[in-house]
Amino acid sequence: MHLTLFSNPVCSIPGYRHFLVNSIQSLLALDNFVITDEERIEDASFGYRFRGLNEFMKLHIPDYTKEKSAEQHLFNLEVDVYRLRRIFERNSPSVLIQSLYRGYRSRNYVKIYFNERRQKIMKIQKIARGFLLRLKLKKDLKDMLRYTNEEHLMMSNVELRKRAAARRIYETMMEYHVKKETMRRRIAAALKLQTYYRMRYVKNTSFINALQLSKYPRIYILKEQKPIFIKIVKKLMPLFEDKHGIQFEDLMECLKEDKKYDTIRVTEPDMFPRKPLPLVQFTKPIHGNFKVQYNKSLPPDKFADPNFTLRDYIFSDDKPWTDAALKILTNRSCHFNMEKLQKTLEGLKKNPFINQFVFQDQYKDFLVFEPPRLDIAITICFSVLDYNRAVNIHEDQQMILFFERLLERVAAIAAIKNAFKAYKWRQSRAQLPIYEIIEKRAANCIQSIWSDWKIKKRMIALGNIKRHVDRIQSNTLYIEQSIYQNLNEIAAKIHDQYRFTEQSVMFDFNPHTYQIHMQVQENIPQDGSVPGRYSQISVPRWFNLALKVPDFLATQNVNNLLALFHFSVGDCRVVPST
Amino acid sequence: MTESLLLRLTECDSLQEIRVISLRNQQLTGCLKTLAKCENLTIAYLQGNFIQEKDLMHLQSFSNLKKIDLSDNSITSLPPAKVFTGLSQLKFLYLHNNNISNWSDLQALVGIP
Repeated sequence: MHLTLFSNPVCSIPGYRHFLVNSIQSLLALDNFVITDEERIEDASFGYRFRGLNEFMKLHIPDYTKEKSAEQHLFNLEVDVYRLRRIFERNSPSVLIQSLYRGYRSRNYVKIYFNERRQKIMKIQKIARGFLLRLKLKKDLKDMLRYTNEEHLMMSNVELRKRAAARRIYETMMEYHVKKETMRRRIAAALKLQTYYRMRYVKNTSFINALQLSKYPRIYILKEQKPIFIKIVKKLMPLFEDKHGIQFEDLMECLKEDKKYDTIRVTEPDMFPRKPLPLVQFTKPIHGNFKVQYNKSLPPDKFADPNFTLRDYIFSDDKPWTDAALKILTNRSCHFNMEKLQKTLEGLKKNPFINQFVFQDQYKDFLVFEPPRLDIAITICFSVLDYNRAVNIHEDQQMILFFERLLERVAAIAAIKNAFKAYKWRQSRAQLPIYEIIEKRAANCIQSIWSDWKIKKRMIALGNIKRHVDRIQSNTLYIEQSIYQNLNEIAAKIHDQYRFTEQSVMFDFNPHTYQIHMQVQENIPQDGSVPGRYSQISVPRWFNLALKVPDFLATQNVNNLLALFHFSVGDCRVVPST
Repeated sequence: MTESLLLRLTECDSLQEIRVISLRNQQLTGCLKTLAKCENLTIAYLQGNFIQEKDLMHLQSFSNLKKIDLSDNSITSLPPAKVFTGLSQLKFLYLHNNNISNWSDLQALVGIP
């Protein structure tokens, strides 16, 4: 309880504070000071520290603070009460003595209690540490045994049994896997062996089926290999005579020059890469629209001319090889385009490794053999195979057979290649600037034709109009009412200028001849009025007729017309009908 | 000082809600009669007014009052002791800067529990 009474007259009465302190039980502070024990207890003195109206006892009367809310006020009230009590307690000797004694007693009690507790804690710690250490040692031991592969020493019986079982299972599994893998490899190897064996068998026997000889029963050979072919056929003749009763001459009739396939000679036949099965080697046949380029102007004996230096061009040192090649050429009796050949050879000289394909010319290189029976063709194929096997590849040529199926394929490939090349070439040409110019010129041509055509149409239309106007016999012009109203307006507007500036063509009725005269407004009129907007453009020159001057007074039936246009020398007047 | 004015000032719905009231320097002469109806009033700032003795007679009904500031008023004498016995919760009673001059008024304060 805090009471303030200062600044009242009653405060000046002696014994006022003493009276109030002792009469109000709950009073803790009066005016600005807390009440001390010294004031309460009579004749007591506790020294300066606890004397009444001391500076320690001074109490601050809380101001009216401007707290925002009522809650803040209530809270501050509690704080003030607490503060008041604290000041009293701190400065009251009796309370101090009590608190000191209590503190001493409680500390004493706590001391005994803490001793007991510490011992208990130590016991717990001991046990826990022992347990943890044992655990750690056990783990270390296990680790060590694992390193030395003696894990089983630590295991219980059950674990040992389990371990043995696991090991057994693992071993069995491994065994199974190894067996499986071995089997798989064996099967794969067997399959591969079979494949190779079968391939070999097929290669040697069934190429006939592969080449579809029954569908295309023709065999193509090179012209230069005709002797070899005849040799082989002759060997077989006794067989054919026995079996089919066919004579050698009959068979030779079947051997004709082929007209279907041209060839571009890539290499010499000797330069073909040697393959175990020479029957299916390729040349490049050309077929269809591609023509053979014979140089017909070259005399056939040119080739035999001693001055012909093909030898010098192609082959430099190796004499026997050159001879063989020339012999082949002679056998073929080919003609050359000398210019082209020379160019190619020069190129070859410069860069012999890149330009391997010497002969760019095209030849009729094939002979076609069309046997009467399929058996004969097959027999010949096999005997050629035998011949090729027997031949010494370093000395003699192998016999090369070409089959129509393969030739067709090659021809198709060549055609596609050519078409694609041509397409690419055309594409590259399309990007040239000349094509833009051509396009523009074409556009210009079209435009000029179009505009000419339009002018022509317009002329015809104008001529038609003139013809119609010529036909008018009467000097009376009937005009629709709406047009007449417009005419009035126009006339009112142009009265000063005396001209229809918007009209390029002017009409005039001549009352004597009943003709209509039209004139293009070309020149700027003398009176300064503006010429018609379209006078230069819309009407062709041949419309420019001579203007005949009408006599104004001579015009008859003036009153019958809604409006009349009268031309005088330089201008025109509109006279509205009255 | 009427009830409606009080409600309007505090923006409360009823007088029971009022717990803190501040009416400083308002030149009031008798407001405790109205305030006595606020049952839950805890803090009352009434300094700087003209509250007089007969108005203080209403103090006995403030059972929940904890702090009342009556300083800077023109109080010349205090009500009898029985008035203060009702203020069971009172913690702060500010009466400074008044005009209390009689010893008998101090004896009235003895009634504070």
